[in-house]
Amino acid sequence: MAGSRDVTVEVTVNGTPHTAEVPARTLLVHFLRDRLRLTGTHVGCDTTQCGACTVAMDGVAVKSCTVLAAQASGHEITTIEGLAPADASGDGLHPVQRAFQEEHGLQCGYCTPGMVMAIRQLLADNPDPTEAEVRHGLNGNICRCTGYQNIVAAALSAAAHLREA
Amino acid sequence: MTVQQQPPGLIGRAIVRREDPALLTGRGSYTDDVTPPGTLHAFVVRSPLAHARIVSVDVTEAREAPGVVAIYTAADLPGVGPLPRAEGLPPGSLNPEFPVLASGKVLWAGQPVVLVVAETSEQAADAAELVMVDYDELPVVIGPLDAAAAGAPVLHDGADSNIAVRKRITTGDAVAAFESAAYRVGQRMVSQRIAPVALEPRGVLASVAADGRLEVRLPTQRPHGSRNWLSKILGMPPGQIRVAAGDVGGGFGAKGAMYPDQVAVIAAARALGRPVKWIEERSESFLATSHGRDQVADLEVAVDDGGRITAMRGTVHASFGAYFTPNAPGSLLGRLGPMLPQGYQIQHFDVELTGVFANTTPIGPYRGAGRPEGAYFCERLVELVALETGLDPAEVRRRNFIPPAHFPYTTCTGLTYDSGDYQAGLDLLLEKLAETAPQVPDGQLPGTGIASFVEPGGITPPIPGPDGTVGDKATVTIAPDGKVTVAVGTSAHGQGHETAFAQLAADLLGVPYEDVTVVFGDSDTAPFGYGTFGSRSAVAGGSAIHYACQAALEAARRVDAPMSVTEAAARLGGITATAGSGAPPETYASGSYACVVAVDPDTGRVTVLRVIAVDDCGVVINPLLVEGQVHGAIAQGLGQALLEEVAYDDAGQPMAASLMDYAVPFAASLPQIESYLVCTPSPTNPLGVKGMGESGTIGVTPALVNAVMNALRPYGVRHLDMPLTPEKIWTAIHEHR
Repeated sequence: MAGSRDVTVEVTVNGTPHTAEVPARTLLVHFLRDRLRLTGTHVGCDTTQCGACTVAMDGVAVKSCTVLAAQASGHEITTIEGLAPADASGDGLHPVQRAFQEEHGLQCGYCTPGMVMAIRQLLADNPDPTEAEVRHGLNGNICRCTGYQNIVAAALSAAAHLREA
Repeated sequence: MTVQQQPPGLIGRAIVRREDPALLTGRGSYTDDVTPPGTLHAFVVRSPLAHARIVSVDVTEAREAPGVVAIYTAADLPGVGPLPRAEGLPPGSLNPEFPVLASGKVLWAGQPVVLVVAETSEQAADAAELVMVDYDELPVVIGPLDAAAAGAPVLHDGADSNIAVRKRITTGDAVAAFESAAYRVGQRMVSQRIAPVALEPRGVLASVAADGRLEVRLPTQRPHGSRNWLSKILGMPPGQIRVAAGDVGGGFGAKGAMYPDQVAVIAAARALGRPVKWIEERSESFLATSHGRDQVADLEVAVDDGGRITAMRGTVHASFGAYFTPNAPGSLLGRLGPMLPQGYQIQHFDVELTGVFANTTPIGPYRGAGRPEGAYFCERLVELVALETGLDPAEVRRRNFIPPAHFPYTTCTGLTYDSGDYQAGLDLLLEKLAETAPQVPDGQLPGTGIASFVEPGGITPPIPGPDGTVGDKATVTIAPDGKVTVAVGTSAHGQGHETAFAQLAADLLGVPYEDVTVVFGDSDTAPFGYGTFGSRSAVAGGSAIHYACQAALEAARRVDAPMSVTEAAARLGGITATAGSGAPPETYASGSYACVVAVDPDTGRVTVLRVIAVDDCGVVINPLLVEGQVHGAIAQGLGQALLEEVAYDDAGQPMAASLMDYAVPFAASLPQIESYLVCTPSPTNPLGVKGMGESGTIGVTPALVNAVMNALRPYGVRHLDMPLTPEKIWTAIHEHR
């Protein structure tokens, strides 16, 4: 396409290094979904409101629709597929994921990967949040199914679990 | 919800969902997650104008753009469409053709005009910029009252007005009732246009299989219905089409219809013999996915000196947007109008319903589809009756409720409510409301509002399936090893049916829950059904599963010795039983909700301090899932009450077409919802269940507005239309100061 040039992206995703030539305008979310087929990261709004595309870059939550793939070059990305440690005993779920199931924190599941990744960050920043702090901390993530109530419950439950761990 | 004793069986147990592990680990399969090799990508060129004649369409330059494979205008899709027309309209209605791609005229900003297909989605989008459409602008009409007015610009060629349907529902003698009334209480009320905003946008992936069949991945609530619509639109036998939903990221009614953009993409895939995918952008979604509500009611009730509401009369004007979607007329004529009396013994009724076309996005069902609007109008009037008579709002409701002994009860609008105990629900609500009083910040205005409602659910469309009978089908297969598969024609998109229906079948068959697999959402692997909408799946799908399980048990009983169904399956080499739901009468769930708010008079901002929901949806299969539906619907109802509005400027341009400027509730906008259940089983289906997925939007919207109006009573504000934004409240306070 006119005016577009390719760039080389070297990025480690969920522990696996990848090198790819992509158009410079490629967003990280499209790189993850279309090139690496990591389709657990979703696109919900195109304008950085909904947070469905949240992943971790070098351990920090970012909205991958607002990061160019080129900007991720040289960094480590964790997506929802790579959140639970591979050696997880039993159910293969991270404590935040497990809390979502136990608290019925998801319905259609579309916002869920981003919610989980955002709450992972929220609890890393604040291991013992109040309900109000969780609600405030989720201002960058939209859910249309749950009324957020059980997402908040899942965050608080995961926080308690992680503090004990 | 209060912690309840777990029941002995699986029905009624709060079992966590089996759907979750895949969805939580990124292993879901939504339409955009599937990209077969060689997939082409489509971009839809839409009308930028709300009303215009198409002078010319020039795709010459776009055709030459890199990667472009094909471009379709209306002229390039002969024999495709139109979309199926509305059915069951009153005599004299308009029923215009809804084309797949516009030709001649465009009627709303967002109507599909041209489809560009290219090797990549970026190439398709870039080429779409080169499509030149020349328009002659026409005058625009937006709101339902303006569109109904004489002299309004007329949308559809050949029509002499925009009035699509008109129906007057009359019972008794409203004139006499109003003449003898002690009080007459009337109000103009608006249920504003809002957007469903399922977080997964719409889309489609279509391809032609090696055997020539059309395979369609569609985020839909209605796989079989979509297949049958496509059969008509494309002129193909239904058996030549497969529609599979996969995981669907929310629908709320808006993923029930077959949309013109999706049809164009499917037609392109058929013509090109290659997979073609199109995924809606969020800004497109605000233009092209059906909206909800958009009605204006001018209603009045007559009240006797005992506080009893004797009659209701007036008009409701509803916009359908530019064209009919399949359920839009029914939402007005069959839902909103007939549900206006709610749970009250109103004897005299005279209401005219007028549905109009306007230069706006087509209206479709949105969580409640006429039910929330009917309940909102009624419950605002009931609150105003309390204001005028000086009676307590709960007392007004008590004096007017249909008593439990009167069920089945036929309303003055001709509906037969199956069962209910409305006072029991209201009593529990008042008890919970009295338990604690939240702290209202200094200087803020406290307000409490209640609302009671009735929710029809479980509708079965009168459309026969392939076997000629009406009803959703379920097939239960018990393999010789005892594993059970339940396939059903309803189609969940977030509700948790895999879990709930496995509970149901395991209980009915007496097999372990883990041994039951539930299948739906694919016209090839699930038996015929109408899909999931209108709070119908527990009633219709659940009944079909019940009858299929009974048939399987009956097959087991025919074995010569008494044995379990799995032993019989082992002996017989497997058991397969199919049954239909038939057309069970609709169920009527009910409830009473309360909101407690604080209004800041300096800013007009509403803080919701408490939301209490008491629901009666009959027998509950899984209380965890019911509570989840209540939470989600309440959030959407509060969104309408406080935040959301699809507004247009005078030229018909939407003023909020992204999530930057369309305000859906965030976690911090909402309080902890307190949810309680009472139970009046439905006598009309074998499970005793009632549809309840829409209750929250129905109950909370009037409860919230009633609460805010009560908070504003010191200023003499009688009524404000939703959304109750800080600006609107601040202005009202200052106008009344």
